[in-house]
Amino acid sequence: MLDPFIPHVFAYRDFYQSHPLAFLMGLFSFVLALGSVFLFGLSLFFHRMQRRQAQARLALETRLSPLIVACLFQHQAPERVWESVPRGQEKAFVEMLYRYQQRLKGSVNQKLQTLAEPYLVLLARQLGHSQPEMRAQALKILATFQEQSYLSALARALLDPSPLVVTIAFQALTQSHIVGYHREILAALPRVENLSLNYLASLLVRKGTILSPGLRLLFADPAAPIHLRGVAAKTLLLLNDLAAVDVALAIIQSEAAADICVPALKLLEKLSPRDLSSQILPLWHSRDFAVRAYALRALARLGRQTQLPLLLTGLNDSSPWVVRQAAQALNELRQKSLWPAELEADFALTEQLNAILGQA
Amino acid sequence: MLDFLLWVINGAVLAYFLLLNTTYFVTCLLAWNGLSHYRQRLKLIQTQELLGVMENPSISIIAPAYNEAASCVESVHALLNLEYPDYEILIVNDGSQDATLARLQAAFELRPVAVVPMAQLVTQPVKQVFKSKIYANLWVIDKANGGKADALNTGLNFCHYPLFCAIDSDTLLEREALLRIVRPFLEDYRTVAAGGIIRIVNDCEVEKGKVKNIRLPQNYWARIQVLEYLRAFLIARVGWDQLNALLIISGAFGLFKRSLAVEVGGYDTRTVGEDMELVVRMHRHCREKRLPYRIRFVPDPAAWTECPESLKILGRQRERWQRGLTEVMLKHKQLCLNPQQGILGWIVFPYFLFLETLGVLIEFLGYFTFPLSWLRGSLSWEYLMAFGALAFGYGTLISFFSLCLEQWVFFRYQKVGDIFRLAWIALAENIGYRQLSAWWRFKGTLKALLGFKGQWGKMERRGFQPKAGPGV
Repeated sequence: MLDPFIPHVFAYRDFYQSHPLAFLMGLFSFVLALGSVFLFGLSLFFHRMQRRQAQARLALETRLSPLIVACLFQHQAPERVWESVPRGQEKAFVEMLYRYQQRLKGSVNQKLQTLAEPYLVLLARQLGHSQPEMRAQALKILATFQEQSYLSALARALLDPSPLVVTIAFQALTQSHIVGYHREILAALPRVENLSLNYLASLLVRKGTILSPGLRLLFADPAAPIHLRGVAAKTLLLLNDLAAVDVALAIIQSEAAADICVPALKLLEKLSPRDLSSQILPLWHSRDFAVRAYALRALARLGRQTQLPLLLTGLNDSSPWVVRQAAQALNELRQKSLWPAELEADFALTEQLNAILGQA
Repeated sequence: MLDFLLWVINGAVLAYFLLLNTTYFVTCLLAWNGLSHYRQRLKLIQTQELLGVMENPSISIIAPAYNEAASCVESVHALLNLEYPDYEILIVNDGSQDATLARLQAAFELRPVAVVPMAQLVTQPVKQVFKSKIYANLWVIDKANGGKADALNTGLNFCHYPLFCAIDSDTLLEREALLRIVRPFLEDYRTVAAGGIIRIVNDCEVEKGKVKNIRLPQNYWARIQVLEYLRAFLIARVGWDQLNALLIISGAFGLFKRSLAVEVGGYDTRTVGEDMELVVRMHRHCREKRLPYRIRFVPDPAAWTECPESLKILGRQRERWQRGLTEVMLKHKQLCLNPQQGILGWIVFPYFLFLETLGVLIEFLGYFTFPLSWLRGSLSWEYLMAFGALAFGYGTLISFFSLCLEQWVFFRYQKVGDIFRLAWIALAENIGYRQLSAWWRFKGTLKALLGFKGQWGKMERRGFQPKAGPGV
């Protein structure tokens, strides 16, 4: 079929018959060369595209920034800004407002919302996009500028198949000023359980004590995933939830896993209003160094100087982490002048503590 | 008989070549897919938002230093300017014979302190621990020479935070690098390690520890390495990351869960590929104990490093890397085709063992057997040329792929001339450099198989200053 085009240039048929493998390899090399040329062209195209985008962004910012600033700080009417948004650049304009929003605080954000309002419908359409990143981006911007109008969309997004979208919705709904949706948030926890414990707790704590009863139930539930129980414990601790002390106490008395005993001990250490030394003491003999370290911390905090002999024993523990906790606790007592006179005169001990704590 | 032998070797070379390049091609597709999603995700990443997280995990940065007097002070300044809420810096001076320690002492007013280590990894003796009078989060540990892995273990013994970031002391981290690399740890609690991208700093303009103006190096060999790094990070790492099968996190920039690193025994001091070995051991440990885990590659937090500009040092470096790879493969050979190890045992490990390690021997043999077969008349000239063209085509395609991804997602090289220069390198490196590289890797594999022991790589550094010249 190709004969009319290349018969005189290259006797490919003869070559194929005499060297079939070399022919195929040569042909494939040709395809690879074409691929390379294509990719080089694509690199240039992307380069040009990136430059153009950067230039367009710069041009848009140069054009609109003075107007936006005037609108935000000098009572300029928003219509004046809207008139200047070039056709086809509406989304870029909203993204620009979003960047402003990240840098500004206070009442000007309200004005930014007003500026963004007419264009948000474009982003709302993007919520049905097949790519999760596009859905997430739309959700994030909508939640930033007009979350009250899109609360139901945010709640629906908690059931999105993409973890990214769920995370964005979760971040938005856990903001302190959003009322309600507690059940949805708690129900969505297993869908965001991969988030780190501290991060998840820092999101949940923004909702305040309204989540406490649900979190207490989660913390106490031995059937729940241990990571989520840890999240619940951490959040309750950040919320200073005194009712969680009893839950934590029950946990250290009935469960042995370090992953749940450690959060419970941290909670007891910080929140318990009474001395629970007798209940915590058995954990000091745990084989897990983390449990021993946190038990020691809790004992030092709750039992104060009555635990001095135990703290001194802790300095000889096999785990350096327990030793460090003991040294920190002893140092704290020393600073609060809670050391007996004989310890105060013990220079070797002071030097040992300094060495453990890295003090000069 | 000889012809038959040559025929067998040539067949093996062809099979190796096809398998290797098919794997490269598949990795390219995986990387394309991964980066196309990541490109969108980049818009969602707000580092300021991450800073607002109440409890970002604290990070200990461990930077081993051996004869780094030229660049250590500037590197530490850069580390001190990182944007991250809570971190400490541990510079481990591994018995440097130059003025590394003296320069650090003078620049940061170090005073000796007595500190008890927090882990018991066996290392060479620590002579003295110093703490800066000016910066409360800067520590310098002076120890007897024991190699990079030993220095990292010393750092691990003294770090106090749940995550540690292993870097080379001459590495320049971008200001937001820690905030970006910590993201996988926030997004997924199963994350035990994450690596960032390494870029070449030669001839870039550096001011106060910050890369201000990104330029392609003027040196030919350094330019080749720019392309190599793009291929290694934007294609190989991103591609393997898509399968949760990342086997290498560069020693120049990686973030690890401290407790797990200590639990698996820290860095192996008997290999020069200690960074890869630790990652393999983490994979193995987590899989054997059935612990949920993730080892991730994050393509946007960048660390900048100086690369060798002389062929001699480059050759030594590549030989050392290959020796490290071979040592790790031999040490963990039981992972190969081990059904308990899942994708690691069935795909990733066989790929690295047979294609990247032992395959190098076959590849190198091919450079002799093909011409020999042709000289003896058992291989046609046409076949020889076609094979050469195929090798050239594949090599070039992969390089262009990485160039394309760089422009599409990161756009760090913003001059159009840079694309042409890198394109030229993509073509030119196929003749001369690839063959040299094969020779270095052949030597590296052979030395590892014969049991040669490695040490710190000697690298002549000129610090982070652009070379004076017409283009600068």
